[in-house]
Parts: sequence; structure tokens; C-alpha cells
Amino acid sequence: MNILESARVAIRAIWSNKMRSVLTMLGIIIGISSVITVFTLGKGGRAAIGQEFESFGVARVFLGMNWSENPQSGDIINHADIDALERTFSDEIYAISPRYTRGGEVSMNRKNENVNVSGVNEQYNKIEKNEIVKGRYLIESDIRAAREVAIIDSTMAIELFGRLDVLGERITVRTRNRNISLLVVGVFEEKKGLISNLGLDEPPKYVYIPISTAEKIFGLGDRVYGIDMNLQTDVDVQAVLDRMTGMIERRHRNQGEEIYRSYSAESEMETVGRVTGIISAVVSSIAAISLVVGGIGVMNIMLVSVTERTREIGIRKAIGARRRDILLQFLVEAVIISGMGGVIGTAFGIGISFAISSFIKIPPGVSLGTIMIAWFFSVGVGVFFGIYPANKAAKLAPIEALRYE
Amino acid sequence: MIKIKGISKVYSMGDIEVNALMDVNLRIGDGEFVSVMGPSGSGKSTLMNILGCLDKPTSGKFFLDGKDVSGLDDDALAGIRNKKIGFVFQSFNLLPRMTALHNVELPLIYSGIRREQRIQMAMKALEKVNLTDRVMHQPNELSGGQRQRVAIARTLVNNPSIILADEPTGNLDSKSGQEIMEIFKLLNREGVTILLVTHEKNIAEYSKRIVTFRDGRIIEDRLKDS
Repeated sequence: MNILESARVAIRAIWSNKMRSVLTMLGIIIGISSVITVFTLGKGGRAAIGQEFESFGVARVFLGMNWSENPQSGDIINHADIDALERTFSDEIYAISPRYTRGGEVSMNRKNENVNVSGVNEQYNKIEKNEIVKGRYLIESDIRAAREVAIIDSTMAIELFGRLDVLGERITVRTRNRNISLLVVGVFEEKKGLISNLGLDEPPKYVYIPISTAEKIFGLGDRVYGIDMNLQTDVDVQAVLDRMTGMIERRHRNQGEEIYRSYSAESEMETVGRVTGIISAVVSSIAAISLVVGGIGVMNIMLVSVTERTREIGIRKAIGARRRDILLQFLVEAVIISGMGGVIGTAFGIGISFAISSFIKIPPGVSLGTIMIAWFFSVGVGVFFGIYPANKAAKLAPIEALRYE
Repeated sequence: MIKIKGISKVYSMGDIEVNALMDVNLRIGDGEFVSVMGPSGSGKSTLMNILGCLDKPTSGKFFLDGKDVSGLDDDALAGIRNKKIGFVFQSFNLLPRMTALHNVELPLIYSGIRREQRIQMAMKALEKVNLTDRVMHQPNELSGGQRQRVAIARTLVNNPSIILADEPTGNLDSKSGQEIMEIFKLLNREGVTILLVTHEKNIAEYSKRIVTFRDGRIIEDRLKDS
């Protein structure tokens, strides 16, 4: 009896006991669908995080004070430092801007908004990359003149004024001990990020003002607490950042004191990549365990099936079935059951991960490779867990088998 | 064409040894119709199992159509069961969730015969036992007599050298039993060799030669008179 005939015999046997076959498949279905779901969500999640970093700026870096080391006033970065950085690293820097942020509140027409007032220079939009929908961004003369102007978020414009075109309006920001009155000269639309897609609490809206204005209002003097930069795309980000930090340390004569901290999206990405990789591996292992359990289920049912069909095996042997005919029949049965379970489980897994990824807005990561691997796995489970029962069936002695009630 | 010489079969059940068959000699020619009778435990079922290549003797030789089958391996014995021997059981032993046609087809599947040819051959066998109108029924939709007819068709399908029937009428009422024996008679008239185990005298009367067993030995081997 060849494989095709065995398949026919096996399918007939599976079909004639549909309930039992379905219950057997259930373990494989659940196992495969959880493996596929975890896999594709993991891939999609990593792609989404990658996109986040893309929109954040892959070559984006931050250099600022490490407050936990108690810097003295002589340690604090100043404007001369920024000029030095711009000169020395002119080839590597695409845009550079000092930044000072203070939290506050804007009240207007009985509406309250929590805001972050961020003092930056005219290059900052080449770093943060927001789309200007009305008016303009900050310009060099704003900074030179320390004008009291602001660029605000489009949703804030609509919340406070009910419309987008709010150029020329004034807003008053109340911070802890200062009130600032600002003239709106531009409106920007914030990039949609993963955080807002998750539907968590909205972070405070940003209000961008000239850094010189912030320094004037908050009395910062020559102090720069943090520098944002966007480097050219072909540089070794971490190496450049280390060199910059070294230069600042030399200028302030505090090498080795860890007074300054730096941050690059690149190293962050690596860390996140490692962490998600570990999480993915752990969860995949758990899912794989459920697949093993499913396989054990197949084996158990096949063993029961063999016992139940002892008489049948005896009859088949009596009319001429050889050992390998019986072995092949039961093995093919196990493989078909787990193969079908694999197909159904794959369909479920893809369906579930599509549903979840449309809910939390990450791209689905289904690939033909994943599907093929899952299917081969389920067939492999069928072979591995089906061999023992199939062999048991094949070795039955015909006379005893026929006598079995 | 069946020749057994010095066949013995010993079972051990714990410390006890049971001599089921003791030094049995028997010859059955082509076209014969033989009944094997004897009380239970006399060894007739053991003989059937050995003749049907379902069991191996402890000692002795078994020649089937001139070939010594006593030393063959499991696969070879399976081949003989498939092509040279047909078994009819008291409890029919049909596969329950398959049609009569598929039951009859089954030996042909193990012979490696293709589908279209198989169905033809199976239908021919079912014609021989007059069951062509119920071929798509499953065994539980058939009467006892009909089931046994399916079983007989199954033995015919590969043109065996001999049909071995173990109490074929044991689970049938007397009318169905007679029908079955008439079919055996018909087949034998067409040249099929039949060996039948029974404990009923009137069933044995259908055959032409009666071999009687007692305590593992043949005590009588006579042609039926008239």
C-alpha cells in the first residue's frame, strides 16, 4: 500500500470519527495559533518600534547635565560650548539646538491645557520635525531679538480657539512662578506616535518659544541645561557623541566625573531591540510548550485510537496488511490530523494577530516564511508523536488482535 | 495442495504447558470441501490459525501449493494471507464504519491494485454472493446473513487457493445459515477449496469430508457417505 492509499485510508478513518479527530486537532490548533500570534505580533511590534525611532530620528542625540552627580556652577554648559561644538563638528552635525523646557498651564475661554514650554532655536524643527500647518516656525531674528512669540500644537489651537488659524492670537502660559504672554506666529501638527495610538493619557502639548526668550523669562543667564542635535546619517553616532562629551569635559576641566549625560536613539534602539528580543523568545518558548502539549495530545488520542481499533488492525492483518501498511496508515493519520490542525491554527493565528494589530495600530508581521515554518512544525509534531502509537499498532499479533473485544 | 506434517503447537500459560496440537498430519487437495469437527479445546481453532498463517507451529512443516511456508517471515505470511487464503469468521469481522463495497475492496488495496480495477473486482465478488443491491450500506445496516455474504465476497476477491471458515453460521439463524452453506456449496462446485470448522453436525453435512479432532489429534478422517 503506497502513501496515496494510506492517505485515503487515513482520511476515511479520520472522517468516520469526526468528533475525536477534531478534539485531537484542538491541541495543535491552539499551539500553532499561539506561536503564530506571538511571532507575528513580535515582528510587527519590532517594526512599529523601528518606525517610532525612524520618526524620532535615527541620528538624533541629546547632550545635557547629569544632575545626580551634583554639578557645580562651573560645570554647567554655556553658549560658548555650543559655538565650539558647532565649529569643531560642523561636518558631523546636521542641526543643533539648546533646549530648556518648563511645565505650565494655558487657560483660555474656560479651557485648560497642560503644556510644556520649550525654549529652542530656529534649527530645532530640523531635529524634532513637526509639520507646520499655519504660519511659520521660529526664525533666527526671533532668537536674536528674544521675541515673545510661540508656535503651538494644532489640537491645542482647536481646543482653545475652536479653529486652526490662530495667528496673531495671544496666549498666557502660567508656570510655577512666572506668567508669560506669547503671540502665536505658527501652528504645527504633531507626529502620530505609538504612544498616542495606544490610547494612553495624552502627554502635555508643546509650546515652542525662542531659547533666548526662555532664558530671559526664567533668568537662565549663560546656562544651557541640554543640547539636542541631529547628526548626519553616515556618522558613527556613539563615537561622535563621546568625542563631543569629551570636548565639553575638557573645556570645563571635569574629565572622568560623569557630569554630563548623553543619549542617542541608536543605543536606545539597541537596548530596546535586545529587550524585545528576550521577551519575544520567552513568550515564543511558552507558545512552543503549548505546541508540545498539543503533540502529546495527538499521541494520547492515537494510542487510544490504536487500542479501540485493535480488532480492526487484526482484521486488516488477517486479510494481508503487512506491518509497514499498518504503521504507514496510523502515521499518516497522525500527520494529517496535526497537519490540518496546523493549517487551521495558522489561519486562526493570522486572524488573531491581524485583529490585535489593527486594534493597537502596529503593522502585521505575517510572512510566508512564518507560515511555512509553522506548518512544517505541525507536520513534524505529527510524525514525532505519531510514531510510537503507529508502531504499537503495527506490532500487534493478528490472532490476539482478533480476539480483542 | 495443503500438506501438514508433524505439526505441533504448544502454549505456555504460566507454568502450565498446553499441547493444543500434537503431531498432526493432514492433506487437503484442490477442490475439496472439508469440515473439521471436535469439542472445544480439541485444537481445531489452533489448526485454522496455523493453516491461515495467523500463527506459527511450534514444530512441523506446512506446505501450501508445494511451498514450505513454515519458515517464512511476517511480511511473506501477510502476502499469503492476502492472496492465497480467504478467512471467514464467526463474528464476520467487517470494518464497521465502511461500506460493504469498501470492505470487499480492502484486500485488493493491500495487493496494490488500482482503484478502478479494485471496484470492478469487488463488484464481481459481490455478484457472486448476490449482494449487488446493498453495496453502499455499512455493516450495521445489514442483516447477519448479509454481513457474512460480504465477508465471503471479501475472501473471493483475490482468488484464493483456499477459503477457511471458522464457525461461519455460528451467529446466524438457521435460515441464514442455510443460505450461507448453499453459497459455500456453489463456490465449491466451481472449484474453490473450502475448509470449514463447525460443531454442528448438520452444517458439516454440507461438506464432502469430515475430519474429527480430539485433544489435539485427528481421531477420524472420513468421506461423507452419500
